[in-house]
Amino acid sequence: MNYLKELKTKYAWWFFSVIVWITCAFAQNSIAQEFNLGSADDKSRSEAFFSDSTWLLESVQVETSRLQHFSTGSQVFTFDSAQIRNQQALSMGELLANISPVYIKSYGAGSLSTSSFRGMGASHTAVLWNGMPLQSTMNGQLDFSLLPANLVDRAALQLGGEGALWGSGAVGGTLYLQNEPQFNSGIQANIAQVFGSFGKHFQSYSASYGSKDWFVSAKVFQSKAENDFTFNNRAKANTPRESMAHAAFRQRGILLENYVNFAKNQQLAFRFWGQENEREIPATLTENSSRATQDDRFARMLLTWTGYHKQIDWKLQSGYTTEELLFKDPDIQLESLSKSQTWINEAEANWQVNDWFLVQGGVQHQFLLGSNANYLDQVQNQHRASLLASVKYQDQASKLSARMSVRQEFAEYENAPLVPTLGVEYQPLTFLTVLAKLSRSYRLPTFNDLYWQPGGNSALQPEAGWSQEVGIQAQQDLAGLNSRLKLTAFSNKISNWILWRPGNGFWSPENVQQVWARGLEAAWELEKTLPRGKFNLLLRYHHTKSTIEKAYEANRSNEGNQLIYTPVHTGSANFTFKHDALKLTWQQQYNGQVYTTNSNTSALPGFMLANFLTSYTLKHKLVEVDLQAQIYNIANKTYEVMEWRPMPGRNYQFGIIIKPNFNI
Amino acid sequence: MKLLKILSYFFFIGFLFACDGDDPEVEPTAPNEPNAAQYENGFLIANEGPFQNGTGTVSFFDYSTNTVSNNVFQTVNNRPLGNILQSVAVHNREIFMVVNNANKVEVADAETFESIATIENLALPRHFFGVDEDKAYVSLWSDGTEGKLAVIDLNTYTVSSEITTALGPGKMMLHSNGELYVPCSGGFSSDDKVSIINTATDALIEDVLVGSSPVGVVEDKNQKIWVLCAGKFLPDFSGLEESGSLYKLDPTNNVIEFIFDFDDFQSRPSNLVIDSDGEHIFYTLAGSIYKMSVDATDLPSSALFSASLYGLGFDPESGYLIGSDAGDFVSNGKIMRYNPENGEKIDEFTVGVIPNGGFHFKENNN
Repeated sequence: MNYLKELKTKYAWWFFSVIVWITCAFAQNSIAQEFNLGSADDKSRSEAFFSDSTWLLESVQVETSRLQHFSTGSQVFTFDSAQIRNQQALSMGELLANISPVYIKSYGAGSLSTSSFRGMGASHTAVLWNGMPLQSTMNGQLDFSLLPANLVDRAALQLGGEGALWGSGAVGGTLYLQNEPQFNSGIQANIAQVFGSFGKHFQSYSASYGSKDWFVSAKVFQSKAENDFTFNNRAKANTPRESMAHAAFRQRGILLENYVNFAKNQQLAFRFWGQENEREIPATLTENSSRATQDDRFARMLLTWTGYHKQIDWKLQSGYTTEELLFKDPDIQLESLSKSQTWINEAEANWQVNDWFLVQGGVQHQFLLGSNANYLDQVQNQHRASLLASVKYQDQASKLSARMSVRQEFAEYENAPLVPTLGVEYQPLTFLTVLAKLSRSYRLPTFNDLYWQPGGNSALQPEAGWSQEVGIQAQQDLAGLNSRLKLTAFSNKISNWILWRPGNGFWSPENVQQVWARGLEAAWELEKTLPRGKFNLLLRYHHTKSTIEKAYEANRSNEGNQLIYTPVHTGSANFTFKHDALKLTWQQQYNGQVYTTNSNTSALPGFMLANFLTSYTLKHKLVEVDLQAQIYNIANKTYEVMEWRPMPGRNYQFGIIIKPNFNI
Repeated sequence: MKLLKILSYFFFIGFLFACDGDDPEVEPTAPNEPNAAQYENGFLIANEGPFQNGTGTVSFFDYSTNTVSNNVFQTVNNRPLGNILQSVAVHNREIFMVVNNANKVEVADAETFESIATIENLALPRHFFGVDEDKAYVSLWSDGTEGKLAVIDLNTYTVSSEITTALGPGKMMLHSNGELYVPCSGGFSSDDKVSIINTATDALIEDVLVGSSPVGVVEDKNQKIWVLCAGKFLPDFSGLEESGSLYKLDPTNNVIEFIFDFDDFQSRPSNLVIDSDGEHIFYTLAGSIYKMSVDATDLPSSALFSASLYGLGFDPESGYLIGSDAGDFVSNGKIMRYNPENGEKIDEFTVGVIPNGGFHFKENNN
């Protein structure tokens, strides 16, 4: 792996990627033009994207076939570029907090944000970018504040454990991010500027070209904010009004995409995503001040070859990620640099045996490399390999579908358990679908868990557990008013939960805890298409008990208590009204009280937030201009998601997106 | 919370009546000193509070009721203490709370617990020691490159000067000869010295070389100095490069009189305390608590009792050993009282999150 280490500087990778990109661009001249793939209109494809309804295997969909065809029995929540476009200056963490049922643990504007799916922890969410897992090798988490919402075309949330499809970490749920080509789109360009409160400035520039067999796109963005918002400091006598200090951030990134239908029924895709992030780490209200900073840099690239022949389609994918995290705290003369690299190669194939059966097989290999001065031998690496198989049955009338998936991962030092999933969907009545799923999931110990000195514990076992869920989905259309109701009950029990505990002079991780998360989820959506637009109302309520079933022996009295920072009640209401070029959105979220200690003796109060978003699109034959205005936290609510880390009050964003029309 | 408060008052009053009615003579450990302030008639417990996002809290063990009240500072002053409460001390009828990560010492009235002042700009303070009416020292880990004692002017509650010590100064002890002994454990790295300070001139007298990572200093009945050294980890933390040790010093010229080596290359000893007669010292090692006579020539071969303690103290008032258990460090911890003769547990009380060894006991040196 020496050559990997040699390519140390980020510039080498940027250079490399640009070269590959240009090479691909030139290559397209010699490409056979006769085969027409992705010309299918965007709309039908987008509808088919995450639904289970289509049997047709198009090359472009092979990439997401696991999600598309093998998520039978799962609750999947999707959102697309239209929703992202309305809030494009936000991070994925902020966007998910606004529109999704996922609880986002935000340490403040621009600061670390992690997710909690279905009452699970921050490292129990699998995040995949076009199929490549993004969770950190070091700590198993992904910082959602480093994920700009506008860099993805489409996203799907799969709630619940699903180790078979997504591997290690898919314990509470999975976030799937997808970038897609737009063939036959000609030349497109897009300039976006967003200005907001507290020095927020977001800018994005993109250009793309799509012909029948080629799509190339480049997007650059920069986002920054001072975050010097004012708040009432409840840590001081008489709660004085203060302004946030040392909380600025800046992110810059680039996304390059290149898709080529290079032969009959075959497509090659290359994607590159590089990003630099600098931020100040503010002090909590109970600290005096902070001078700490954190710089994150990463480059991710992905080469994908998809194709189909008769009843078989395949995907070969090679992905590489290099990441760097530099944390500095001059107050204690600390400079900690973590670096990691991941190389993933995978192959999978689908075989449509007949009208009833679809079979998938896959193999994946990951090579992980992590370095930190605190690691045993400074540098550690791991090989991991997985075998994956799925079979799906679907009857002709689409009334019954059932699938079984199974994965076995072999990690270098410890084997993950065999994880199967069994999912069923049955439609007894035209308006009613019943879903059920039984699934096993797991999480391998991270590099920090294994190798950090002091404390790293190489004897750790993977966390593992079983989950069950049942749900119904009812749909009714009354005089153009479409009403959809989803009810789900779930249970997820995880054993060998890894906790860091202080031991002999230092902290060390152990497989000590057992956690049982279970709950009810209800969603009701009303939609009516109007002559010149539509309205949509989406109400959600989640009730999640996530309790410590088995605690460390000195804390047996905590058994039965709710996990910290895991609300029992969460709910949201989203109302969207569209009329011609005008779009209005009202978002209301409620997050219930969370405990801050395992003994459940102290808590943070719940909070209700409301946002109002509006946009107006001016269409001219030469240019399309989208004007946007958003008010976040309308009621100017004082709240904290993490204790002693204040969140901003009422704030505003104004944006403009300009899209010149080159295809007249 | 309000209801809880009211209820606790009722329990409190009920308890008083119960004591009155049943047997009023059973109160040997709670002498009524007319001069003692309310929060001097008991001992104070420092709860560090959850790491990262938390605030420390102070708990108070009341001798007159044998009950613990938690979160005293915040209850009285309606604001949190700050991140990581390292230790508490009482001096001049004032309570000094050393808040490590908030770089400050909060000062409160020992009668009411009402906030009096905040001593700020202290770089990672650890312990407070009151020298006289006008002066106190606060040990600072600083930025890790040097250890310091901040000299505090108690009239203005500001830092008047600084004394440089070895790295990572900890809990200070005033010897009967008037010299101040400061064990310097190394802080973020390692060190092996006890810095000795002249409290009249604020000058460093000398650094005495002891074992690696000295964590505690006490004086026995013979005026000898005992220094507990935790030992030094191997670079890969798989064990100890240098085992823990116990040093006995003669204070007249600060020469080493005896070195007791633990010869345990896995576990580090910690939490050195001494009983009020100066006859026995106690320390923790690998989940056990040991007791040793100051006249002994060997380390004790068996433990007094077993318990996984984060902090240890000796309460001169009751004559009990006090242990703190931080549990999983994200739950309310507890303190236990033990009989120092046989290690029997007397009782236990729920306190705040991460109770440590930064107690303040009545009749302590500081």
